[in-house]
Amino acid sequence: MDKKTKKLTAKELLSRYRKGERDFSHLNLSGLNLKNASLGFAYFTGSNLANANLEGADLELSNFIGADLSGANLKEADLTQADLIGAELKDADLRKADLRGAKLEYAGLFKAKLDDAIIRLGNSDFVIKGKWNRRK
Amino acid sequence: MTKQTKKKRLIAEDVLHLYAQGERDFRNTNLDGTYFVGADLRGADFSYASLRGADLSNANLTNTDFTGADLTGANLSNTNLTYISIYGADLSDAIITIGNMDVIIKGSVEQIEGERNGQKNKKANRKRTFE
Repeated sequence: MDKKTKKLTAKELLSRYRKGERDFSHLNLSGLNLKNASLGFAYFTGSNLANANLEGADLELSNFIGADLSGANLKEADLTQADLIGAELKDADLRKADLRGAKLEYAGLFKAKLDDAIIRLGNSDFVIKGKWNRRK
Repeated sequence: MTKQTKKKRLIAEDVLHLYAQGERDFRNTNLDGTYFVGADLRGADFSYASLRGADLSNANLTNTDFTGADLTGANLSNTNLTYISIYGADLSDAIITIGNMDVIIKGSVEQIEGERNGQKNKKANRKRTFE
């Protein structure tokens, strides 16, 4: 079975997750509506989640290494301790997202919105009130 | 007299010279506007120091302590902020690197206190269920 070309529906994905499946790597999940879905502790390594609606979703400890999340709606999503190393987050909406302990090394955050997102710096958690301006 | 004036004023050369001699205690010092670009400051203690507008970009800050420090307008780009102590520090208008992007924090920074963290940590300590 060629996993790369297979496109899952939101319903299918959530049903498989409920049955205990956690490996959703290298799948085409672009544009899916997964608003408020509970998808923590899952692997989305290398998956295409471009323009997906993940607003308010529970993605705690999930793995997005090398995943494409460009243009995704991640408003108020729980991304605590999520692994976003090398993920593409261009134009993604991360406002009010919880990024505490999330790994963001090499993540592409060009034009991503981070207002009011929660981040961890060292041993402390911070909410950035107001705008995050990209440095010129 | 303000607190600021009581802090001992040091320049970058002083700090780096003392650091080379093994000194790690730079608590309560005034280091406003200091140029620490690319400096090795591992394990140094800058708690309650004033580092307004200091340039710490590309510095090695592993295990450095900035508890209660004033980092208003400081440049912390390209530094690894994972292994630092920064409780109670002021990061207004500071520059930090997130992912591949340098961001300037405009406006105030609000610290989240322990309670919510505690809950989170408890949840996070659950065993990973997948293989």
